[in-house]
Amino acid sequence: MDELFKELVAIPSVCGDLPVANKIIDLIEQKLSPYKLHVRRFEENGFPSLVATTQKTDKPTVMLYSHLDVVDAPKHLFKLRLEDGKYYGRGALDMKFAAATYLHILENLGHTLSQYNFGVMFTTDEESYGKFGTGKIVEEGYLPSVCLMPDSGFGPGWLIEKFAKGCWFAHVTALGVSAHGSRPWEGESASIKLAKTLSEISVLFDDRQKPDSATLNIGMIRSGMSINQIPAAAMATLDVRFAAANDYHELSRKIQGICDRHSVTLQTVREWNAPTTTDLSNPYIATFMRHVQTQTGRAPEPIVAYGTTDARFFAKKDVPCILLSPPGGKAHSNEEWLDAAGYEQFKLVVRAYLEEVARTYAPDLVFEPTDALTIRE
Amino acid sequence: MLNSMNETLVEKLLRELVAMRTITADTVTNAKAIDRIEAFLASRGMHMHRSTHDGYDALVATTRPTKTPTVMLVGHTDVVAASDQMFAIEERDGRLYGRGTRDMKSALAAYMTVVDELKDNLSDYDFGIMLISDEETQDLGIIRLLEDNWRPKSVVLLDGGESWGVESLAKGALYMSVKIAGKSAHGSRPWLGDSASFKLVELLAELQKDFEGHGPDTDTLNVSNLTAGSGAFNQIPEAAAAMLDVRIIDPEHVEPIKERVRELCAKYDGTMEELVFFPVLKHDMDNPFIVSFVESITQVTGKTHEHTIAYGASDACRFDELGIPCAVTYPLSGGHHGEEEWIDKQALFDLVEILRDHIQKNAFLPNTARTSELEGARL
Repeated sequence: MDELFKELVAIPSVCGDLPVANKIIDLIEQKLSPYKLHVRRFEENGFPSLVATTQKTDKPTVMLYSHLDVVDAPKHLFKLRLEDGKYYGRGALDMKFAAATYLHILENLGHTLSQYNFGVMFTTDEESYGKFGTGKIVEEGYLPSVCLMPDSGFGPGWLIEKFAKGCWFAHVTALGVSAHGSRPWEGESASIKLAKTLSEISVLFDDRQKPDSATLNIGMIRSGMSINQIPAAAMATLDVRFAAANDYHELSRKIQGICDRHSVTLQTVREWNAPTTTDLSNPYIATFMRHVQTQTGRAPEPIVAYGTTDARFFAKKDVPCILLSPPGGKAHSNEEWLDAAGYEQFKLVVRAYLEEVARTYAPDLVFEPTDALTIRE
Repeated sequence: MLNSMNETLVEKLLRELVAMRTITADTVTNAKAIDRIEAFLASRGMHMHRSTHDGYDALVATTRPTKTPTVMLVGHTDVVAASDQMFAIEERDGRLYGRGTRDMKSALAAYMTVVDELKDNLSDYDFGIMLISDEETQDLGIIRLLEDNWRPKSVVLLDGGESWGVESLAKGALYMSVKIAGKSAHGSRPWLGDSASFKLVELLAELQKDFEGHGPDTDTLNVSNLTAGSGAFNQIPEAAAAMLDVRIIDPEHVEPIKERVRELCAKYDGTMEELVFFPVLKHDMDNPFIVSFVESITQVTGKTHEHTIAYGASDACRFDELGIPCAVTYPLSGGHHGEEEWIDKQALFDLVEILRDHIQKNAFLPNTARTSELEGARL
C-alpha cells in the first residue's frame, strides 16, 4: 500500500466543500515545504489552488497537473483499498494518484530539484467549474511548454486522448408559489414545473446518449422540504457533452426554448467549451508516449474522450496537454479503480520524462509550438 | 366580550409562539415551546401529562385528574419551514402575518388565554388541552396519545374547515415516498450508468398527468422533498427520491391511486412506501357537541353554518375512528404553509370567546355532580 496515496484519498475533498479543500491544499503545501520550490497559493471564489515551480518562472518546461477535488461517495470509499492488484477508492483514478505521483517524484529528486525546470499545480474545483483553479492559474500567467494532465484516457489500457467532446454545465431553476399541500390550486408547484421541464429536455436526447453523440446528465435535483407544502423552488443541474460545436448551439437553443415555455430559468454555470483535438505528433507529447512505450512495452492507444478536462484553459493559450492515465476505470462510480502496477509504471514514466525534457542542461527540443491543441469550432 | 387585557394576552402569546421556530424536525425548539405552554398552564392550576414518543414531545393538560375530559382542545406546536421574516408577526390591514398564525399557533394562544380567563374557577370545568409536535410530518403524536388511553368525550380542533365554517367532510390524505434506484457513472458516459434522476423525472411527469387540473373537488397531488444526486454535475445519480402528498375525495380512490404509484415504480425501478394515511372523514353534523360548537361560532361571529369540505387532513380522523366527535374549523385566516400565512386579528379575539362559550356550555360541571363527586371522594 502506498501510504502517501492513501493519505490523500482519506481526505474527503468533495468538490464544493471549501474547508476540506483548504485542508488538502494545506497538506500539499506542508508536503512541499522541505523542498526548494517557488510556491504560490491562490484562492478564487473560495476555491484554493497552489502552484510550485523548481525555477523562479511562470513558464516552466513541464507543468504536472492534478486536481484534488472528487465527487461525493459513500464514506467507505475514502479508505483506499488494494485488492487483486487494483486500488479502489474515491479519487484513486480521478485523480489523486497523480498528486501522489508528483509528491513521490519531488521526494525522489530532493536536493537536485534546482537542476530541473518543471512545476506542479493542484486545484480543487475541477469537478464543477475549473475556472477558479486552472482558469485562475492560467490567468496568472502560468504557461508551461507542456502540461501533463493525467485526467483523461481512463480505461483498461494506456490510452491517450486525441479528441475530447465539448462540455456545458447549467442550472435549471423553477420558481413557484408555496401553499399547503392540500391546496395546489392556491399555489404553483415548482417541483412539478421542473419535472415537466426536465422531461421535455430529456426527450431531446432520446436518440443520443451514446459515445459518438451528445449526452445529458441530470446530476442533481432538489425541491421542497415538507411533504405537505407546495415547493416554491426547485432546481436541477444539467451536464451536456457534445462532439461538435453545432450540437451545442442546437441543443442549448432548444433547451432555452423549453425553459422559456415553462417559465424556468436556465443559467450557465460552466461556459461551454468546444470539442478539442490533440496533435499527438507534438514533440513533447510524442516524447511522453515513447516513455510510456519504453516502460510498458506498448504504445499508448489514441482515443476519443467523452469527459472534459481543465485542458480547455491551456488550449486557449496554445499550451499542449498530455491527456493520458495509467489503466483504471469507473471514475465517479463506487467501483472506481486504478491498476496498481500501472501506477508504479506511471511514476517511472514521469520521472524519465522529466529527466529528458525538464532537466535544465538538456538541449531544447525542436518543435513548433503551434497546433498542439486546436479548437474545432 | 373579550376585555382588552385578554385581547392583549392572546396577541402577546401568539407573537411569542410565532417567534419560536418550531419547524417539525427541530425537536429541541418544539420541546421548548411545549415547556413554555406547560409552565403557563401549570401555573394556572392544570394537571400536566408530559410525554415523548418517537423523539417528539407531547403534552396533555387537564382541569381535573382524568383521561376522559368532556372537551379536549387539540393542537400542534410544529410548523412547516419558512423564510426568516415569517417568524416575527407583521400586522397589515387588520391581519397578523407569520408562520403558524393560521396553522395553528393562534389556536394555542387562544387555548392558553381561555385557561387564563377561567383560572379562578378551573376546577368547575372538565376540559383539557392536547398538544403534539409532529403533525406536519409523520403525525404519530395523536395516535400515540390515544394508544395511551386518552379518551375525551369530544374534541375541538382548529386545523381544518374554512373561515369559521365547521368541517363536514375532510378529504383523506395519503403520504408516500418513492425511491428510484440507478447506477452511478461519470456524467459524460451515460451509457455506462443508469440515471436515477431521469427515471424519477419521467415517473413524476407521468404521474402528474393523472392529476392535471386538480382542484378543490378532485383528488390532488403535491410532489416534494425531491432529491437526486449528491451535488456533482458530472456524476450519474444512483438514487433519486420524492415524497408524494395525495389528497383523496372519495374512499374508493385510495387503492387505485396506490396501485398506480406502484405500477409507475415498477416501470422505473422504484419502490413505494406508504408513510401516513388519513381516511376520508364524514362528520356527524347532528352530534350535540358539534351543533353546540357551531352555535357558539354563530353567536360570536354572526356566521351561520355552511357545508364545508376540508382539503387538508387533520387528526380529527384519529378521534373519529374511536367514535369521538370532533368539531373542526379555522378562524378567518389563510395562506397556511405559504409565505403569506395570516389570521384576521378580530378573528383571533373571537376565537377566545367562541372557545370560552363552548367550554362553559359543555364542560361546566353541574354543581350537583360536583358535590356528589366530592362527597364520594370523602368516603
